[in-house]
Amino acid sequence: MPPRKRRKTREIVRSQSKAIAVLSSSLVLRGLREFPHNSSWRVKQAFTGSRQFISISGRGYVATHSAGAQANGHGIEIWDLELSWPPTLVAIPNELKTADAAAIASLGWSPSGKSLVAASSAWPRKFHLIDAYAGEFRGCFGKFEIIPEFLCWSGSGKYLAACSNGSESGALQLWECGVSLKHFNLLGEVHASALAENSQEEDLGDQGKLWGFGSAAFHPNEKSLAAVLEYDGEWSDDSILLLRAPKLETIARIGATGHVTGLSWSRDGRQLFFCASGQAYVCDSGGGDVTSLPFAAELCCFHPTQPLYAFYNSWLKSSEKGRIFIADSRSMNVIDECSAEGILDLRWSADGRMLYAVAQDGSAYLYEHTQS
Amino acid sequence: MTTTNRTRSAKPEERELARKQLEQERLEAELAECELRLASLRGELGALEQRYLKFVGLPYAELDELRAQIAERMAAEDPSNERLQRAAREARARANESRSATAMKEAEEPKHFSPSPEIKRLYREVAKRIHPDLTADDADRARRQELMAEANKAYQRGDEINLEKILDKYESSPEAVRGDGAGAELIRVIRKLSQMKSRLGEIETEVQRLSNSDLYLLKLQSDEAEQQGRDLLTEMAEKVRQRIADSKSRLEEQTGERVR
Repeated sequence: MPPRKRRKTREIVRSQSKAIAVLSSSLVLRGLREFPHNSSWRVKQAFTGSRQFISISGRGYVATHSAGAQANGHGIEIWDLELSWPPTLVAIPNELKTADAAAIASLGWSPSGKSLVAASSAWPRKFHLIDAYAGEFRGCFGKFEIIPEFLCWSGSGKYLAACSNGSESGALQLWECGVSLKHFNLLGEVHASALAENSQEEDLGDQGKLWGFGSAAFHPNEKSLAAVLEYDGEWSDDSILLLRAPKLETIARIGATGHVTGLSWSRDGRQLFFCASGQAYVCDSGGGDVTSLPFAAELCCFHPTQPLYAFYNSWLKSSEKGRIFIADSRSMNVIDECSAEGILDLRWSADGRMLYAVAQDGSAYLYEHTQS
Repeated sequence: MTTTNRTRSAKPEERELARKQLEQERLEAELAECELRLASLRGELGALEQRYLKFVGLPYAELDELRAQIAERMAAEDPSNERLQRAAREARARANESRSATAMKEAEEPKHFSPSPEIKRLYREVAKRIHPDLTADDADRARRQELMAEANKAYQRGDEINLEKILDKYESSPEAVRGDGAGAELIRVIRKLSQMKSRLGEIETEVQRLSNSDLYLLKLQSDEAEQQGRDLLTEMAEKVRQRIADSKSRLEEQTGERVR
């Protein structure tokens, strides 16, 4: 007797279902992951390991100073936050023999994201210019006594400010910038000791000593800049100086409470936001009344076209974790936020569509801002 | 003379047959409903998949192509960098995969799946009458399978006329004629019940599988967005297009030429 044919029940009307989600599955999954419908944030790993010195460009590139363990020594790594590909490695010639893993550095992106200026204790005491598009070191310009801690460009790329600290001889240098090395001209240099108010220094007593310049931010009209005059000591208060560009004459002095860690002008240049001792503040462009904002924050960055600012705060009262948050500067309402820790830099893209934040451990937070 | 009207009591197999026929009727209705649910779900997901590939998948394919070009350019500039070479190979493989996943969809016009109450009624009727699990005869089963597959396609196309034709075609066929005899009929009914229960289990498994798919998650999110007056796929497509613009400008930076 021949074996009975087994009924093929499973074949009944199945043809359509196999097509569903087979062709599209990887694309659908990708869309769901990359564009979470209820969140504007994406979190990804920009790099592995730990970096102390990071700078984000307005195009979503992250420059890091490698600690010497890599093949290119104390070179520069440029990571693309959008594409997540292997970094562009830029080796810097003439690395000092004394350079070690504890080398300190500062990095400053030009507004277009094409040029990067860097300084490091592992290299000769000059500013190093890197062409980020070509991934090449272009050469050096200028010189300094103390390694700058902070480098920043003005909005159009006309000026570059370099802030150094560590002693009274900490200085602020103002450079005129150009497309190539020969176009970088030193316009002025001022030492912290020359700008410190004698009375304040005396008043400080044992509260701290003059430490140099911390960070700086150019006014949108590029006619002035705000620079932080730092004082060493746990209980000392920094000052923010409004200086005329390019002569670096003092226009106003703003007293801060504690150490200033973040500085950003509003898009119209009418307000200056800053973070001091974990608290956000705002003052008018003339350096008048300082108002405390209802936010705890350590880093701040104003949106290039809209009345929005982004803040980072490393701790919350209700949790040990920190957060990045976006607030409306008119209503003071937080419109979006994301848990984050160890953020070293925060930057809006040049078109204001993205906010980039990168942490010491390489975690990158991308906030996609929509008009609505 | 008195006459006594004697009523013949039903035989045990007839009583059992009546019970089973009642159960069959109930299961037929349930099966028709479940088939409708499954066909509707497939229809909705199929339409969503088509729209997704058209509006989001195609821009993704374009984006992946641009990224592959950027990666290949970077790799070409530094041939000794193995990481760049690997990244370029991976980017090209991804671009090829995205292109082939969306290639079929380029020419198709995506449609929304929104079956009318009339077509749903017709589909239920078809499922009740010609479902393959309602027969024990192998030849009849094969014919029903064929017609049911046609009915599914017609339902997903929203083709009422064809559904009616399928129904008529089966009703007028000799396979639609049923035999007599309580004992034989009881066996047929019991087998049908078993087949229907088995099919119901399969439908449940299939619905579960579809409900666990990424496409279904996309459908839920899309429905939620729709309730808020948003079009999720349009939003996603817009974001992919922005990335395309970014990638074009990155490629322009590398090549110094305008990328169209």
